[in-house]
Amino acid sequence: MSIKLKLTTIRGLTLLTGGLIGWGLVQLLDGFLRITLDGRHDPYLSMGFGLGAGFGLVAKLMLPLTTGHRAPFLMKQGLAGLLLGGVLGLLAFALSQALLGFDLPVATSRIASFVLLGTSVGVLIRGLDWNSSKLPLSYPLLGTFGGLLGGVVFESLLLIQADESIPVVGTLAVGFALFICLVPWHVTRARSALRVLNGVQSGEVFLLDQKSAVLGYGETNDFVLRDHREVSIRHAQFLNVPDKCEVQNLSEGGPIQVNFRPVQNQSVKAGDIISVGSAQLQLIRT
Amino acid sequence: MKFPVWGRDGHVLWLTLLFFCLLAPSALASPLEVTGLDLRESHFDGTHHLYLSLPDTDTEISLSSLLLKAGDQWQTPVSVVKRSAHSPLDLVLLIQPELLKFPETASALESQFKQLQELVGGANKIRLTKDGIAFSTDWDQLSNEAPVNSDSASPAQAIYSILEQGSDTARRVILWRSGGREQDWEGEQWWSLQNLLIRKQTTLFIFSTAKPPSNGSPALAVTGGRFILNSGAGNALKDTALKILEEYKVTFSGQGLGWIPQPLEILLLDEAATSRTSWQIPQRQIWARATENWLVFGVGCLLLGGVLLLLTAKLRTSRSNSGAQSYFELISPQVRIRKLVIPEKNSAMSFLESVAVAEKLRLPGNVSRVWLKHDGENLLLEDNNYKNALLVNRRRSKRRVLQHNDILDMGEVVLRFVSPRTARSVAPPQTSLYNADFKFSEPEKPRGPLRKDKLVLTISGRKGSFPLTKNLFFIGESEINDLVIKGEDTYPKHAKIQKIGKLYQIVNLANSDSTQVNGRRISQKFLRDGDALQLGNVQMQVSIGALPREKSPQSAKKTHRAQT
Repeated sequence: MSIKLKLTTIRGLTLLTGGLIGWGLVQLLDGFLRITLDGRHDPYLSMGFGLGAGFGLVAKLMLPLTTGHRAPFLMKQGLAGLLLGGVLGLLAFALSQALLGFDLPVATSRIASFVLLGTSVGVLIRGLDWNSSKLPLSYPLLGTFGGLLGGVVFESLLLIQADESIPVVGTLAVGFALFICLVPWHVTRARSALRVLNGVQSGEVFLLDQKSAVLGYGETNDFVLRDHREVSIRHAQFLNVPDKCEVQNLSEGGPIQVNFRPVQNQSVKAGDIISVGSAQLQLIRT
Repeated sequence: MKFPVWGRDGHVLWLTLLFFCLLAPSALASPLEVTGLDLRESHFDGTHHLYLSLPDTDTEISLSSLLLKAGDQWQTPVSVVKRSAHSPLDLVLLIQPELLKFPETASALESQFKQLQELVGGANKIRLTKDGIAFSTDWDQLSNEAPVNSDSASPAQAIYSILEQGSDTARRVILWRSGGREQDWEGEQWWSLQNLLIRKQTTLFIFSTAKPPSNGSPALAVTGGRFILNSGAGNALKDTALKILEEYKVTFSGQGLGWIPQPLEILLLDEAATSRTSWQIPQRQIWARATENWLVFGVGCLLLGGVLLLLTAKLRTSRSNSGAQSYFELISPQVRIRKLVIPEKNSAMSFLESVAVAEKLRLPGNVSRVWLKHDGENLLLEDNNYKNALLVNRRRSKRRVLQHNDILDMGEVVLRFVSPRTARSVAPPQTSLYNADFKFSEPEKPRGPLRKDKLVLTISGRKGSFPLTKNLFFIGESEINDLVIKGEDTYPKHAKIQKIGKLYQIVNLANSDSTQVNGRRISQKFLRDGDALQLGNVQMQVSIGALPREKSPQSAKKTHRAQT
């Protein structure tokens, strides 16, 4: 299986999972609120929080799942995504409820909710804490489009045939639409990838799908090299412009070798062996 | 530890979000106040209009009209006359057709609205959700006798025909009171009614004096589990219906979503049992309903866990690959990484040909003259070509004792030598880089062909000796050196020893002149047997061509013979 297909599968599965988790959360919250508030609650609250939390959870996890991050970091990200996504989802549904004041049909407000939800997911995917590179605008934009697509699918499902299984299917459809918009575009944009040759991560592939990617043992990097001595927190930066990839040394005193020659800045090509400290990486074309 | 959510610029955003989130529920929950409620008869066509006065608008808004016609030819009472620009609310009154056959319908409706007005006045606020409310029937008239379904159409058909003519945009609640025919609650029509109810965003309540239908009753499914059995009459029924209305002011938007499943509820009413508590949905049932969705939640979590497990399993397999056996990895950039077993006998590298053919990689023709020789536990690679076919670590080399992580290039075939045994020995436990203590790595000690003609370093305070394994040998703190030393005044790349002809030359690579040979600072110097070498505060003894601590000058001469 090619690396792109593999990444697409993993990320897509993750996003679809978000739909299921979100829907389950909606139901649990709804049941809980019905009991505690004696039926006097607005179901949009549980809808917004539940769906947002589900999608936020997986949005935060989508990228770090395949970039070598450690489990505690993943858990922290997941928790942050859960809470953050919940809050954003709540906000999205509340705002769309406010839209109803403008004499719009209910379906429009629901679609608007999903659009805002998609934007939130897009924002969360590359969170604000990611210090290695700036928040790219493309994720929120694509997320917005995915939300729109998902919302339309959802509403048309409700129109065609409405029964109780529709919402699950519909939420999955939202997840699928998000997946269609968010994943393949970035994955297919990538021209090159890094293959780890030695250490515990040997065989893992980091797709260079961003313009710049920072490598090191720090968890806030784009790619994490685990269990290597002689790898700095932020060790190497890969600048990825079309048809060219350049490696830069970010560390003080941490060596980088390209084809076993020490370098500071060097453009690399497919097949080159890049030694980052004691770790060996290979640049491959995807 | 810093929580990852809070970035440098995150605070402002989060505070803003928090602010909005505090505001959002209050915005959602603010009810719409209705100050006036009035029923007027239209002078044009005799229809009745219900007017609601809203405080923030000067005008009265006509929300719906009632078309009242008694007799056989009755038209739908549901039609939205006017929708307000200020409010998307529709108030739809659905009147059961049988009611209209009573001669005193109009006056009954008048009193009905007065009741509603009282209700509103008592609560002082009526919360209209986005969807509107509706109610039906005049209770007193209906009290004792069951409504007459004279044409013997089933309730499902009757409701269906009403719904079909209704507006698409309004949402309704229908309170349907029907007679005691048990067979009315069975039948296929209910299923076709279900979709229509959902599409028209209508919630149906059925009051019946019939026996409780079984749980499998289609009517029960259609009504979302609410099926109200009424053994009483008169005021009891009225109270019940009013309470439904009251409850629906709060929860109606929940119904309107169309997919929030309703908990199962059958209410058996009689004169005695109309207390408020009977209207609370049994908590146990809600929770049972909610926990059914643990399944969905669980499946989602399981899937996510599965993805995580797959990833970790992949990590574990890559870790478990490192047995004690040395092997090659094919790492050509075009192909997937695969493991190649090293032939047990000494052989030419032509064993790669089959792999190259299989993977469609080009291999140089003279690769058959590159030999792989076993030498104890080590592997020696010798290139007997006139022109090199072999690059080791991207450098041309004639002969090389393979070390862990060496990269071999032969045409398009790129191999990585993996030797877990040596990998373990050069990776001491994790310690701080700048440790004042001595930290030595232990490079492998090759025996065999290279042994005799070798410079061997003996480090004081350290057992064992360190033979030079390469023609260019780096010493320093960094792991990428061939000999790793750590002490005071040592540098990441401190010195190199290179073989020039038959002589060994040490070159200082450190910034300061902290490389000393026999107590004198040098920048570069040819080494002789017995020299005392000092890098920083690490002292070592040089012995060439002899075993360590055996420093006879003759042995040094002997071993300078070229070896084959």
